[in-house]
Amino acid sequence: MPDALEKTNLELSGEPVSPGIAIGHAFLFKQINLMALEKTRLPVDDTVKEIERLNSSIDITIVQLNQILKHADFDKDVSAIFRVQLGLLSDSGVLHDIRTIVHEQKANIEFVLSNQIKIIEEKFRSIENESMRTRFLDIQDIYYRILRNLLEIEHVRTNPLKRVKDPVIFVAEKLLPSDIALLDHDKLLGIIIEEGSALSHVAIITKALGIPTIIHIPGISSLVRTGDPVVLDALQGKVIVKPTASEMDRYKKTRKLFYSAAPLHHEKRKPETCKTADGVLIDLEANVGSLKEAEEAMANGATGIGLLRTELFYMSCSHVPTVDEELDFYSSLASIVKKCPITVRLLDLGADKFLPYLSPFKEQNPQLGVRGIRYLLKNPELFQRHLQSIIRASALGRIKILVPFVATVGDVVKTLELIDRTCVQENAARELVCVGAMIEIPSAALAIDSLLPKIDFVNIGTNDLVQYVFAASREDGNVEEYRQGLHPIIIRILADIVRSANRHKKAVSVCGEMASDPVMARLLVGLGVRSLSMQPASIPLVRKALTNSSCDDLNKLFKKVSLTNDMEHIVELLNASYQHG
Amino acid sequence: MGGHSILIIDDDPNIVELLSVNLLASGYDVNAAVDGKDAQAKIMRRPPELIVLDIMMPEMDGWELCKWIRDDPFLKDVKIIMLTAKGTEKDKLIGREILQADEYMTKPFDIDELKKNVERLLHA
Repeated sequence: MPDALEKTNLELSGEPVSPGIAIGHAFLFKQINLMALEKTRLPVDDTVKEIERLNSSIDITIVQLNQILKHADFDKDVSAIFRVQLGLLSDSGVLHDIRTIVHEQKANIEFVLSNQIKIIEEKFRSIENESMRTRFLDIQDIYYRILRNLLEIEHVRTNPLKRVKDPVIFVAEKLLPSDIALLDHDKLLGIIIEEGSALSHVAIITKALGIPTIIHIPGISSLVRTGDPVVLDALQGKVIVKPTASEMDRYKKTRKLFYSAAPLHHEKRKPETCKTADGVLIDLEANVGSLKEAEEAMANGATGIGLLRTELFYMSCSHVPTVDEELDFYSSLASIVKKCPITVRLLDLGADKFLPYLSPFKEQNPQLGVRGIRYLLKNPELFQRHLQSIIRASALGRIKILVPFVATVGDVVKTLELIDRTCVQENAARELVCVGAMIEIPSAALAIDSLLPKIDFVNIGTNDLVQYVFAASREDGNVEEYRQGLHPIIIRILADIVRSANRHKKAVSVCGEMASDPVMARLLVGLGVRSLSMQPASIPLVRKALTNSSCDDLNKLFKKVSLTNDMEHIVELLNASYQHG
Repeated sequence: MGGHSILIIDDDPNIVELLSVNLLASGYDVNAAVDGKDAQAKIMRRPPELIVLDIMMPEMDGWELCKWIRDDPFLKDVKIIMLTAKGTEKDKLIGREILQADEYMTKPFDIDELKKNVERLLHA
């Protein structure tokens, strides 16, 4: 029996794609090993009969897709996914090759189809164009479904939750769009998937269904078993297997706050100020990467965009965007957020983020390599165009520039020189452009007093700061236990940065996962932070948690926390205060 | 060889009796279940080392039960012998390759061959 299975209270991280909190028991689902079929060729005498089997399986697949399309909760984006699949099935060309091969090779249909899937998957690996990749995934989904329908195993064909009585947290290695669509949604509290991408159809569907979902948690299906109690925090991207009683209580409260605070509809709302019970104003801004997320942020009452992930806009392009294309993006964004500020983080490429049309640096250890501002300074032409777009956009609204991955004062000085020069070239008012540094590397945190005189604000990226302080990669599940966001050392670093910023009269904001967790947000406000930036869905929850608390009490809580060197004690103090707050 | 726990899952009492008598006589610790649901409860209570599994059963069939066992990381070491009347090449492919049963035997079967398979798998 693997050791990991014996462990209690396992905490794992992933990427949240549909927000929410779920508490329940796990239901483990694994795809059957259909690829085993590609190795076994069964001789067939009657190929006409074999084609009939294929046709009958296609008919079942069409019925299933029509059944999905009748689903009331699906919006037009989701329906479009399955309409495309239906269209592909009626396209005689798509399955024509398979029928021909069956006739020519006198082989069973499962063998032919699974080998076709293998060919598709090999082609898929070399495709970089996102829309082509999506089309390939649609074809793969259809082929898998036909293959499963051919096997005539009832529970493999349809809803695996058929026998489940109470709603569960569905844990899967991999899910196809039609798998999720065919599940019994009333029995789903949440979904956890080992693999996946935030841009995939699976993510679009779970979001449309409003099911809290986290993807990309390597190994989870080997660590959880059906029946295990699980907390799924699809705001933080956190999964706790076998939570303690205190964690359970804390998440029950957060779940209650989240669902009572979440807007029922995405109606247009005005930016909503957040005041603590004793009247201290806290700015709640949003981390966004697309116009859609910006709309969601404003619907949740964000007071601004606290972190614009420009690399996500670049990733949505098939080429390096022109200055005008990028300016158009900022212009659309400015019209969504009206007069609210937008903090544009300069392209944060490198480590795990690359653009298919730009060559990455080949590095032994990319997390410690040419990332963020280092990448930009080594690509002056790209940097120049990027700055031009942003400086021009500063005429459209309140634009602030945030420099990522600052390690030394030199990084800031070089960037400021380029910004100054671009402002002169573009005939833009330099004094209107605020420039800040992302504090996510320990050296920047330690040199904060030297950095602050040069810049207008700092933004603390807690996820990377924790990663680099403990030398524990965010991508590596084996070192999860080292990434301790509430370790006394981290709290001391945060408090030092805030104290220093206050001394220099510079604004300080926190934009990591910490900011979107109501328990940690209360601590941040207690230690003096007055601006938090988080994923859009967390804003109502954090607002509710802060408006219910007095800043004075939160400051006392921070003082109590700063007196202890024991992280478990810190967690207890924070949870107890949250429960009673 | 004694002491290894075996669960026989079959809705045919004659098969259960034949297997139980022979496997008990060989010194195994034998238990039986009459369908998939009954088997699930018994496996959860006390996972056996080896399962002899029929396919066509009421409630939950052998295919579904086999997948349920293979999906559970706690049960990954449990050996499975499928013993069934379903004997086409396609059925064998599903049982062995897709659902990853360790052995696939068709009825009518030779009890000595089954005992040899049990012994081989438990000592693999």
